[in-house]
Amino acid sequence: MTTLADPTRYFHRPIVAALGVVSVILTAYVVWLTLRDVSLLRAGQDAFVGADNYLRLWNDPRAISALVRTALFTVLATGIEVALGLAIVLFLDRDFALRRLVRALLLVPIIMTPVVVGLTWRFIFDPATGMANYALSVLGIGPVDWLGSTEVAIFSVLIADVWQWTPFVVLLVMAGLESAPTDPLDAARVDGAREWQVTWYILLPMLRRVLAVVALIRAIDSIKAFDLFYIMTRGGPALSTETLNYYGYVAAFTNFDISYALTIALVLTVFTNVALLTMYGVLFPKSGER
Amino acid sequence: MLRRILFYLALALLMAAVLFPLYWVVVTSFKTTRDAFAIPPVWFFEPTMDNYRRILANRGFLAAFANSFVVSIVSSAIAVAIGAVAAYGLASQDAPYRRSQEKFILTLRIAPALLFVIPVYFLATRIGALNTHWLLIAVYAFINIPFAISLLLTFFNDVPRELRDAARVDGAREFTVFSRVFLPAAKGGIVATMILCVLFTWNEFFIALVLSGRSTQTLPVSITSFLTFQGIQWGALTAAGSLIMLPMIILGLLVQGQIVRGLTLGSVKG
Amino acid sequence: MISRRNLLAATAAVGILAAFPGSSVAQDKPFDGVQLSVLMEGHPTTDAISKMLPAFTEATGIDVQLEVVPEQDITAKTLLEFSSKSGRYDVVQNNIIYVPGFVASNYIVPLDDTLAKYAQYFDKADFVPGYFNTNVVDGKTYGLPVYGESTFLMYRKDLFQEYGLSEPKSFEDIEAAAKTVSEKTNKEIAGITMRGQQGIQGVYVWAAYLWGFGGSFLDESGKSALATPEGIAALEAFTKVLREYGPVGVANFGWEENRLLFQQGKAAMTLDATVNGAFNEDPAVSTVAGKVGYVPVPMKSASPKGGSSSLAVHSLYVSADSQNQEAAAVFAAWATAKEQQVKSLETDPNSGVTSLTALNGEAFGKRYGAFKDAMLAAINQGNPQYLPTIDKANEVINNTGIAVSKALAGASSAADALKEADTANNAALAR
Repeated sequence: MTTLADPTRYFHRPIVAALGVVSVILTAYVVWLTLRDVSLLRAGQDAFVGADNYLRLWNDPRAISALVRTALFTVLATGIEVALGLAIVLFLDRDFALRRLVRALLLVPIIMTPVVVGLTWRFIFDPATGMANYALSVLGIGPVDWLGSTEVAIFSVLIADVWQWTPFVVLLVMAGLESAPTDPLDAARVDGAREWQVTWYILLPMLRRVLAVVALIRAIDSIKAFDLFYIMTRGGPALSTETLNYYGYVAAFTNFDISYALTIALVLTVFTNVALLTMYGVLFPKSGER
Repeated sequence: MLRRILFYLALALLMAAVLFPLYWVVVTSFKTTRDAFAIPPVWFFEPTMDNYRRILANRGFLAAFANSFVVSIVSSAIAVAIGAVAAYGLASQDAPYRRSQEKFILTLRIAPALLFVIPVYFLATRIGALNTHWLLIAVYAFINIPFAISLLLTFFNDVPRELRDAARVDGAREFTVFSRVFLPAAKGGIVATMILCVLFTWNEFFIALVLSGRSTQTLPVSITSFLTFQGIQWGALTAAGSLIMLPMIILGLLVQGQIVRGLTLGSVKG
Repeated sequence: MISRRNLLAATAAVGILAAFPGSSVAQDKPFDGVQLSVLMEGHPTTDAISKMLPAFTEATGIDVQLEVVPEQDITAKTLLEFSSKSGRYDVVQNNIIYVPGFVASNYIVPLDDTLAKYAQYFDKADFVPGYFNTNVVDGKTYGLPVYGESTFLMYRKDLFQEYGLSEPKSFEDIEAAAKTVSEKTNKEIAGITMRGQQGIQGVYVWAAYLWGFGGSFLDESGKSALATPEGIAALEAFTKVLREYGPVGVANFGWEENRLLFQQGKAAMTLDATVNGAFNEDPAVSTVAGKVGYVPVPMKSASPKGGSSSLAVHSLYVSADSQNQEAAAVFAAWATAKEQQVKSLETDPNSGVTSLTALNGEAFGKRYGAFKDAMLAAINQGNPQYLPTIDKANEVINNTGIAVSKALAGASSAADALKEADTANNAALAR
C-alpha cells in the first residue's frame, strides 16, 4: 500500500498548509506589533521599541502571579472535569427509565451562553440574596463569602466552570463509549471478571483516546477561560482571580496598551504550546497507536 | 431495590444541580424584579410577560438573532466541511505522520482570542471588511476548523480501515470512498461536531464584541447591553437569555438521539 | 423597573410613529438621505432614544443606525475605531473622563458652529450646568450630556431613629452609626455597605473618602499621589467601616449587589450614586421606600483639593473621521434636547436626565421627589475631577482599584497598597 501514491494526502495537505500560512502571517504581524509601543490613546505615534515589552513582562510580578494562577486553574478545572465526567458516564452506563431524557438534559449547561452562566452564578453566589448562602442557612451553616474572599473566589469561578463543562466531557466520553465494541466487555464478564475490573482493565483503556482528546480540549479552553472571570469577579478581589489571559485583556481594553497586551497573549500562547505538546506526548505514547 | 432507589436519588440530585441555573434564568424571566431577588426565594408567584414584551419590541435584539443564526450556521458548515476532508486525509495516514500533523493542529487551538482579534481588526479595517458578516464567518470558521479536525479525527478513527480498503479494492475513487463510505459511517460524529461548532459560535462573546458592528452584532453582545452603567436589567436580561438558549436547547434535544444512533448503528460493524 | 403602564404607553408610541413612515415632503430636509452610524451604551436613555428615532428621521431625513454595546466595553470599542481612523461611527457615547484624551488626540470635533446653526434643537440654558460644563474644553463644546449622576449618602431614617442616631454629617458619624447598628442588631443589619469590587467600582466610591479626607489622585505636577497621609487615612477609614461593620462579600460588591442589599433593608447606610434613589423609592423593587434619608457626602478636610461628590456624565461626541459631521452634531443635539428628555421619562426609568425642564417636570417629581433636592445639591457640588481626567485615566483607576481591593481584603496595609499603586501609576504615566 505504501508504495502506491496515496491520494488521501491531497485531502489534508492543502488545508493544513492554508491554516499554517494564515497563522504564520498573523503571528508575524503580532510579533511586529509587540516590538512597537502601539497604544489606542496615541494613534499613529507608535515607534519601534525592540524587546522592551518582553523585558517589562519579565519584570512584572503581576504577570508572573497571573501565570501561576492560570496554571493552577487549568490543572484543577481539567482534572476535576475529566474525572467527574468519566464518573458520571460510568454512573449512567446502565438501563433506566428516562435515560434518553437525562442524557439530553445533560447538554443544557454547555448550551447555556457563558455570559448568562456567569451572571447566574454570580447571583447564586451573592452573599445576601444568593441561593448558595440561602441553602447553607437552611442547613444552619453561616454565610460563605464566595466571591469577596481572596481565598475562596477562584474556587467559586472554578465551580461555575466545572458545572458548565463537565457535561461536555460526559457527552464526548459517552459517544466514545457507545462506539466501543461491547464484545470484550461481555467476554470478560462471562469469564467472571468483577464489574470494577471490567471498567478498569478493559473499558478505560478503550476510552483512553477520547479521554485524552477531551482533556486536551478542556485544558486549552481553561487556559483561555475569559467569560466567567469577566462576569463573575473581573480579576478581583485583590487580583486573586486574575489569570494571564484576563491580565492581557485588562492591558488591551482597560489600559489600551495594545503592544503589551499582545506580548502577554503571545507569551501565554508559547508557554501553553510547550506545556500541551508535552502533555500530548504523555497522553499519546507511540507504542499505543494503532 | 434499595440500590435502585439510591440510584434514582443520586440521579435526581445530579439533574437538580445540572438544571438549577437554567431553571433560575427561565423563572426569573417571568418574575417581577421584586420577586426575583426576594430571600427566602419566592417559589410561587404570578408570572409576568413584561420582560418578553420588552425584548420582542427591541429591533436590535431581533436583528442580532438573525445575525447569530447566519454567522453560526454558515461558519460551522464551512468548518465541518473543511474539517471532514482534512480529518479523512489524516485518518488514513500512518501513526507518526498523523501525530505530527495533529500536534500542529493542536497548536492552532491554543491561541487566546486576544492574540488575533486585534491584528484581525487592524487588517479588516485596511481591506474594508469591518461590519460585514463575512468577517465574522471567516474568523469563526478559522477557529472552528482545528476543533472540527481534531474531533472528527477521533470519530473517523473508529471507522475500521477495512471499510476503506474494501471499497478501494472494489475500484472506488478516493473521494467516493470519503463521501460514500466514511461520511455515512461517521454521520453521528459529524452531526455532533457541527452542533458543537454552532454552539460555540452562537455563544461566543469576546470576538464578537470586538469584530461585530451595527449590522452584524450577535446575541451575546446584544444581551450584555442590559448590563448598564446604572444597573443590570435582570428581567430583560433573563428573558433575552432564555430566548437565546431556546433554539440551542431544542436543537440539542432533537439531535442528541441522532448522535447516539449515528454512533451505535451498524455502520461501524458493517 | 418599568411599570406596565409605561410599557403600554411606549408600545403605543412606537406603533403610532411607525404608522407614518416618511410621509412628509422632503423640502426642508437638508440631510435627506444621510445615514448616521451611532454607538451608544445599553441604558434606559438609549432605549428611549431608540424608540423616538422614527420621529427624528421624519423631521430631518437622517437615517440613524444605532449600535448598542455594554457600558464597560464602549470606551475600548470607541478607541479601537478612533485610533484606526475607520470613521465607522459618526456619533459615540462616552464618559466625560475620556474627553481630554479624545480632544488631545483630535478624535472628536467641537460642535459650537452646528449648534448655533440649528438652534431649534439646542438650548444650552436647559442643561444642568454641572453636566454641560464637563464637555467644555478651551471654551469649545465637544459633547452633549445624555445622562448624569452624582453621589450621596443614603441612610435608613427608621433605623437611625430606633437607635437614637442623628443624621450622619461626617465620616466619624458614619463610623459611629455603622458601629451602633451593627452591634445593636448583632450584625443582622450591616452598619454600612459600599462597593468594594476591584476596579472602577471600588474606586468610584472610595474616591469620596479620598477627596473628603483632603487627598487627590494626582499632585500638581501630574504625578500619582495616593500614598499621602490624607490618602492613607482615607483608605484606612474606608476599609475599617467595611471590614468591621460591612456585609459579608463586600469585597466583590459592584453597584448591583450593593444597591440590592440596601434596598432589601439589610444595611443602615450606603454611599453611592444618586441614581440609587430611584431604586430605593420604587416600591416595586424596594422594601425601604419612604424610609431613606439623603445627605451629601461628608467633607473632613478644611482645605480640600476637590469636592467629595462625584460627577459622572455620559455624553454624545462627534467623530473627527465622520463624513457627516454636521448631521452627526444635529443628531447629538436632538437626542439630548429637552423635548426628547421629557418624553424619555414617559417611556423609560430614566432618572439621569440632564435637562432642567425634565428634572423639574411633573413626571420626575412624582417618581423621584424623595431625593430630588439632595440629588440636585450633590450635582451642584459635584467634582468634575472626581476621577482623574487624563488620557491614562483607565490605567490609573485600575491600579488604584487593586490597592483598594488589597487593603479591603487585608492582603496588605493601606500605606503599602497605595505606594504600590503610585509606583504602577507613575510607570504608566511615564510611558
